[in-house]
Amino acid sequence: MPEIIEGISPTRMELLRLSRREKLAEKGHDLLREKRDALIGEFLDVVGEVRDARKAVDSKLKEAFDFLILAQAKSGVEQVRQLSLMSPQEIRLDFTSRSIMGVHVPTLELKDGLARKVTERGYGLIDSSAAVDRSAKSFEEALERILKLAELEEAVRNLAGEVEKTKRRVNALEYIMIPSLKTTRKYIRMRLEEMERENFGRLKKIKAMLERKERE
Amino acid sequence: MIAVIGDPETAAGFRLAGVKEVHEYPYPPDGGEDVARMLDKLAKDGFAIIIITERFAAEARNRDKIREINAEKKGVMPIIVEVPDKKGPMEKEIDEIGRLIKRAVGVAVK
Repeated sequence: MPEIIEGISPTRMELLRLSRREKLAEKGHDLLREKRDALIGEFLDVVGEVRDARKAVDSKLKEAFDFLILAQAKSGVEQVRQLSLMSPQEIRLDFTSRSIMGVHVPTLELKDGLARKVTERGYGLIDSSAAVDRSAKSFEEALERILKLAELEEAVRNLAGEVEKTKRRVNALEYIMIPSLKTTRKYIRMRLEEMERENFGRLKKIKAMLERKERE
Repeated sequence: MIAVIGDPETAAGFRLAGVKEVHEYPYPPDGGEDVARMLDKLAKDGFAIIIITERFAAEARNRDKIREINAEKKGVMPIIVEVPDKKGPMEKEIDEIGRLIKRAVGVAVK
């Protein structure tokens, strides 16, 4: 049995206020339930995308590492390291967030595409080999996919949090708030009816007394 | 904006791809709190994306640190992404996405 809200006086005013609150709570409950269902749908969609993105990253990175190991075998580990130290550039990211039903979801955008031309990589052509170029290229591609994955994973995390929060609210309304409003309303109605009956009895008694007085 | 933490091979690869902030640590790790401390520093410095290899992220101390950063962050930055290293993807003891699904939907969806 749900709790009756404490400290409420059984009056007609209170009864009216309670039924208004109950109506509001029910409306809110319906809205939140819809929000929850929509969020879960969105969440599952993004989960599917994350799985695909994860697979894409895994396979691309594997390829990239294969090329890297090949390059290391051809030019020597130290040489590849030296070359790699020469190639850093500024990777510029556009970091914005859009919102899916009130949930902030990041979107990452590369200002200028990652894949560069051989001459833009920063290391000399003479002391590098084709294998180094290939591994650089596939790492660039892998990086692009990793950014996509980062975006999606973050979206999933935020959506999951929001789903949980909405679910908690729906349940709180459904199992605690609305039932307790209902029982309180019932309690007040019964108290009022009881008071009315008492009053009725009292009136009858008074009437009888008055009639007796008149007869005397 | 992008930072990488990884073993020497991963570091070399991402440097070739043009990432500036690459921190390489020997693997297997030689103890020390270096990676966790670096994660902290990168998060404070406002990097948008921190790429870390799964093997490093799986270390208990780093795992705790990642969780801490994720719990503390406001807004969407930084995003920590775990990527496989040259040995390929790790068998994960906890599937993070699966756990999220279970918490959000109530049942595990494959």
